[in-house]
Amino acid sequence: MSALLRNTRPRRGALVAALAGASAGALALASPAGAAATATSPVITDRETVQVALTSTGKVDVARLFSQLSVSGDGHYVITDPTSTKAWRNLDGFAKPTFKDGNAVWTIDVHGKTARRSVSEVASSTLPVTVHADYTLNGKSMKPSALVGKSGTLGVTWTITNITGSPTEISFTDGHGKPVTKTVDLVTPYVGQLSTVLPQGFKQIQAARADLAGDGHGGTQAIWTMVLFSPIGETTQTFGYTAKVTNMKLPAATVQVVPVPPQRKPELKFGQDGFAEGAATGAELTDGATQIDSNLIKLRDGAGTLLSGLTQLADGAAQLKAGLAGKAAPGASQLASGASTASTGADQLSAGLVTAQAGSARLADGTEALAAGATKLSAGLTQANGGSQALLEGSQDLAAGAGLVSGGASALVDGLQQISGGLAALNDATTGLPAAKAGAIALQAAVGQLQVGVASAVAGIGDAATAGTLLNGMAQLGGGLGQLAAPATGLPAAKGGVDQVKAGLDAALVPSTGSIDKLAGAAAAANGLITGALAAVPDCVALAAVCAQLNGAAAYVAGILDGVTNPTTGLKAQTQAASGGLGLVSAGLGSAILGVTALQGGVTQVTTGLTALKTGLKSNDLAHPGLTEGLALVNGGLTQLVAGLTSAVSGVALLAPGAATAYAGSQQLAAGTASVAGGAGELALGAAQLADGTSQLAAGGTALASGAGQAATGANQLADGTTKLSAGGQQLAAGLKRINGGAAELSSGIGTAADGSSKLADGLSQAQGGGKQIADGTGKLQSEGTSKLVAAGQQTTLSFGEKLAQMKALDVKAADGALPYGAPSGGTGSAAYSYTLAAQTTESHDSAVRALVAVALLALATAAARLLRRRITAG
Amino acid sequence: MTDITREGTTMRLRILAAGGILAVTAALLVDHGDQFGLALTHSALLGLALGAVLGLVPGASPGGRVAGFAIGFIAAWAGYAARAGYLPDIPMGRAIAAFAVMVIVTAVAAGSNGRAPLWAGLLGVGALVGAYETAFTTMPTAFTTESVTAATTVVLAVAFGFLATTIAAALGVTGEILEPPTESTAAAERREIRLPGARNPSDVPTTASTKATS
Repeated sequence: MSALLRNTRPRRGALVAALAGASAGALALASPAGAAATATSPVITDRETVQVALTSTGKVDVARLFSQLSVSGDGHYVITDPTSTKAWRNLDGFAKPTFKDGNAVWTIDVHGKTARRSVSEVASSTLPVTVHADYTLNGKSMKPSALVGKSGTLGVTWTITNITGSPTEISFTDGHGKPVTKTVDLVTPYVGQLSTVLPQGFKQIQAARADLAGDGHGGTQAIWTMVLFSPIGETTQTFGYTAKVTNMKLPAATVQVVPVPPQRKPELKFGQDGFAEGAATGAELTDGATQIDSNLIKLRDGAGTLLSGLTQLADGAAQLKAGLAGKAAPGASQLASGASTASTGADQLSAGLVTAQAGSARLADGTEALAAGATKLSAGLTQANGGSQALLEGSQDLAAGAGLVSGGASALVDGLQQISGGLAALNDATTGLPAAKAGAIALQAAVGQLQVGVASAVAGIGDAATAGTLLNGMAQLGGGLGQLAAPATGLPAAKGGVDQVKAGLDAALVPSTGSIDKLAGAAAAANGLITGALAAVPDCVALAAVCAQLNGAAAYVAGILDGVTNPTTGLKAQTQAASGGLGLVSAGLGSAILGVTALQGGVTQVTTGLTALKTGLKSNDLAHPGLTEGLALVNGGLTQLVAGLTSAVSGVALLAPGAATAYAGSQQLAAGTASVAGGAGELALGAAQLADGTSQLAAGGTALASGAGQAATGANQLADGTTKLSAGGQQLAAGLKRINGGAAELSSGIGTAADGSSKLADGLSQAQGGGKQIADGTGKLQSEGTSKLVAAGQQTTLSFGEKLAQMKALDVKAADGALPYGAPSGGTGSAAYSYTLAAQTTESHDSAVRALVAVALLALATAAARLLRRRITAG
Repeated sequence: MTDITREGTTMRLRILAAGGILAVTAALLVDHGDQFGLALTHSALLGLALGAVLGLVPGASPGGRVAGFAIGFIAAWAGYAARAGYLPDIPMGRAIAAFAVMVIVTAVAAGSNGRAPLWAGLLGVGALVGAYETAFTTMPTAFTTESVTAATTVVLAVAFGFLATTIAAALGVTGEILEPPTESTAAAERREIRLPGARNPSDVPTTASTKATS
């Protein structure tokens, strides 16, 4: 009975206990139920967690998706939830949805709120992050399984990569407000952390990026935080630790990542706001720099215009210099030389004419004497002819007559001798009429040269329309000076441009309110903001990428600030230097404008003088003859003079033989009279001959008298001509002296003008160099200063703008919660990912050992207890 | 000194000796438990206590007690496996698992006609639940790895506790120590020792059954 009881009671008790447990389980089967009242739009939320089991190296072992689909509403709903259907299991019951095209289609009656939890396996390709682990022992790469039990320096390196990148178009504005569209490989914004607990045996742990803490059990908890997206962080991050380990066992590590819309995270929004402020500051910087740059471009263009005007001015001055120094001055010099030669010739001519006048006077006297002698001779001969006639008739008067004849013959001889001497003097090649003729011819030639010189001078002076002439050069010079003096395009415009540019620079340099100080202030403000952002970053070790970005931005903005405020090379110093240089240029242009105005007056005076000189040289008006007309008159007088002298020389040439014959006849007469006087006996014989002779002599004497009269007339005419010629020569000499003086003054004036034009050319060349320096300086300042500043501002704006646009796009990327398969239709969701890197230990071996030992101990104890019980029973 | 007084003194000495042996074993196990695995220190006292109970509770044979413990332990493990791999994670799913475990343990106890006592099965269930429930709740997906560690760890501790009580019994310091000796129990014990006719030489009549019948 007792045995039965012993056998039945436990069974009954067990059944009662089991029924109690079953009843308790059955209670759990009860579930609330409700009825749909009115169908309303459901509020659908899907919270998902993906747990990924990784091997020690990071290879995916299995990935499970835990989904919590929450539906709020009142009605009957059909909800489509994209999910994985592989190994799908309902965690909230045994019901299954309908699976269609990768969606779990739930048909739910909701009255209030309900949830559907499920788990399924997902493909590794749907995971947003990859994890890879590398291990080294004493610097040598090892497989994790080979590390177990080893001792040495362990090195673990994890590489976490966000692989959700996809080409995404972002838009932002550059520094000029121009929209920029760019396609970037944008990832879903994930942040996460890797955590592991390093056991107590891990010594000398080196983990630069990790946050280390104790786990309360002697181990070290190490946590690495990650921002797995740019521009705050990096899509791939590598970190790890080293430790001295004995009897090594690798602990597990857990990586958790979650999507984070930057706009909803204050610490990320702070960075986003920093990017926005950086972009705004960059735009402001670009705007200010662009204004300066545009002003510098105006300055450069003004300097270019100035340089162009100066170049034209220099060219005009060079032409003026070439015309004055190369043509006008030599022409004037040649004119002066010719005038001097003409003056000298005129002096010689005048002297020669004076000599000729004296000679002609003596000639006139001689010829008058000759005429008188010839008249007397003719009368004497007539008388002799009558006496010889009377000789025939008488012989008593022979002695007296012979004496008279002899005396007359002697007088005749004397007179003829004088005539012969006068004719010889007139016929003398050096001092007589030939010399006068030669002088007149030389004078005519000199006058001809003088005419050529005057014509050359007139041609050199030319007119305003003839290229290469003085007046044309002066007209060009006047035109060039007029261009230079033109208010709209010349030096005043250049000065106005320079003054405007200088005013622009001075406005930019105004302390506090000028664009440069504003630019510096903006850069300083940006630097302050970045410094504030740096100070606000809670942990630069954890947010090293953020701090690196901010430090980079701070260095960048500091570079900009230094570029603006550097006392030697900064924009402000260079702008001040440029303003000072422009002031000097403006002053120089003012002086140049005054000089151009004075030069215009000088050119006008020179033009007026040249016109007067030209008129003096050639008036084309015989009533008011100029030098050309005077020379023509002189030339005509000289031509007449030469003709007269030629006639005179010819007359003298003709007169000389007659005089010689007369002289010889007088000598013969004297001899004859002497013979008459000496022999009266032959008088009768010779009376006929004498009659014939005297008759002939009378005829010759008549002819002589006639010739002498003609010679006297010619001599008188010659004397009158030479007198006039002498007067003309003196006038000519005086005129040529005046011409010589004028030409010398002209030459001197042109030389002075040439020197002035040379100085003007030199000055303009210097001004051209200064203008070029201004143009080069402004160009250099623009190209190497403000343009780079504009580029820097533009780059800053683009950089910050792109980062800001990325941050905004990241908000959109994370808006759907980064669910691996997307949100349910009409709902929202969010997901978190948890990766577990498997530990590498001897756990399997330890478990086996524990199991074997436990089994052995239980067997041993059981056997011992049985043996003991038998012994007790037996006892 | 009466018999009751002498028996009471002996009982106290036995309890103290058994407790001393268990205390030393517990201390040694906890202190050197890492020789068998890191988790042992956390499960050592639980397992040791349950093993001691398994060894101290009189009635069933040692083999039957160990078998019952093993059945309950395995059933609980199977329940966790079902929860981890098949059942929904709701009270009903856990209830189904619990129900199944209880049914298995009860069925085995009933089927074995008490040779594998129900209490030993429940002890096995409690051992695994105590060692693994927290870990399972935290990460049910790690069942295949963490349950093995928890199970082997607590089983090893149970084995040490069972062995310790066995050694104590061998040294004569254990016996019917779960209940204070009384006149009737002492006499009954003496009478039962003399009683023949047990079904199995190892099936020594238990005090509980004796008490129940008395």
